[in-house]
Amino acid sequence: MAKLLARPTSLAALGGLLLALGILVYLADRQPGHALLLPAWPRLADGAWFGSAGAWLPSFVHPLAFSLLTVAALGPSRRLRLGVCAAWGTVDAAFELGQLPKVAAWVDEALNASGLPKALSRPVVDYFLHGRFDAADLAALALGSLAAAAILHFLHDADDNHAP
Amino acid sequence: MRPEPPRRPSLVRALLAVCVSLVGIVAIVGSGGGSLGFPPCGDICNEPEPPPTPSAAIAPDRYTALVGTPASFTVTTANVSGSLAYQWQRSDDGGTSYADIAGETSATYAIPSVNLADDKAMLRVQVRVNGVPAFAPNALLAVSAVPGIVFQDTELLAGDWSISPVPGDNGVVPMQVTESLASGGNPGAFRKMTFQIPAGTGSARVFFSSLASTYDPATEGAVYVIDYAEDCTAFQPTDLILIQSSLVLEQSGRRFLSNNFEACTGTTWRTVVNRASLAPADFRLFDGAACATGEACPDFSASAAPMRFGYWRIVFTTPGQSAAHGIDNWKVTVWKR
Repeated sequence: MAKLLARPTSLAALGGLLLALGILVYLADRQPGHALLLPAWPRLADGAWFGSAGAWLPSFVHPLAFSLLTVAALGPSRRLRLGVCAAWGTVDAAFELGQLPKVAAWVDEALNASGLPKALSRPVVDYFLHGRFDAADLAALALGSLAAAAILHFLHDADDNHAP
Repeated sequence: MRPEPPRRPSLVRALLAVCVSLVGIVAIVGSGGGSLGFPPCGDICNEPEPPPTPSAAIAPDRYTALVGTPASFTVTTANVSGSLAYQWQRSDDGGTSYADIAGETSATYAIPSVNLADDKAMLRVQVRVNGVPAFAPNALLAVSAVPGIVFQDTELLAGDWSISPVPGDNGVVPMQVTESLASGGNPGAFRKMTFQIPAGTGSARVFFSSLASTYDPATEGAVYVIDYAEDCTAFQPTDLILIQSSLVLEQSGRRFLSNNFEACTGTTWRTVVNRASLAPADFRLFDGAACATGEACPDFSASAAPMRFGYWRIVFTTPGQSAAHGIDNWKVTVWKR
């Protein structure tokens, strides 16, 4: 079973499913128009499909899903696996910390001064300025990265250990 | 456990991983970060940025000086390229006609010692760009024979002020919290104000009246002009929050606001309001009895009722959201002739 799941296609499928779960949180529990990439259609339910888990689930799922997808693309070397999980944890944490008001103001000024086209810089500035920093998100994304590392370790090392 | 054979990702795999990573980062940004939603992008994202507008301005554009003291005006240009040439001019008839001031062809015009003949002088600078007249900003000088009477507060302690939130259009009075903090001002003590925008409205307005800052023209003399300054800071990015401040003058049950509503932007202390030579025409009635035709309103004359000073803040942002901002170095100078 672990061998089957460790295949790149299986990892990609698992990552895709997790990603779909994260998207479902936005469609079901968040205000329409909340996310830039999702259409502002009415919520699927009354905003309570995921309950309190809906607040942190996307932060947990993102590094987990993209770690699996990246490892599916790169291959299962142990060093790469750990590096990928750490990298996604770091990227997610950087974006979360960037929502702290002082950091967001600095990013705003830096991006405005960078001369980047507005179409590119505006969504990024909006993300930092209007996003809300939450320590629970930080914890969730750290757990998501660790979960990815654990899953990959289990799948690949189990595969290695049980090889004839 | 078997030693892991060295495996290098192929170029295709590496490219695939880069694509996955880009999608992952776009997904983070596109998620909104737990925000209430992105403001609509609209045309700003699709249209090329308009070229910045060239401009020129004199600082200060109004200035009140005591007889015998210096006055200095400087013109600055923005978004202008080419060689610049200046010629300062002066009008003593309220701006109807201007005459060149001999030898004054630099960006700064300084009067070493003003006198009463300089009162109400309007100054203008002709700015030529590559020899072509381009701008002619002007400034006003007011001169007083007696030192101004200064009302100022750098501590802004709660007991020295009365606070009066203004109900919104729907009748709901905005929630506000005012704190006197001992440090973090510009410098030292300052006042921090937090306004919550009531549901169903887009703004919160609050009057702050200085209990000790009363001027009585009947006993102290007619007012010529008033100068006002304050320092301001916001405590969160002000991209979607507009904080404005202006001088408040209370007289005979009426409250007047100075016409200049200066925006408090940025999260560092700045002197956002620095208006000089405010005359009755520079105020507008906010509430109280309507001004009768021909009535001096506000009244600066020697027979006028006492006037009390303060400031007001108005904050525009999303209903339900709170906005925190600070004030320090509040200062009103009343000038007599």
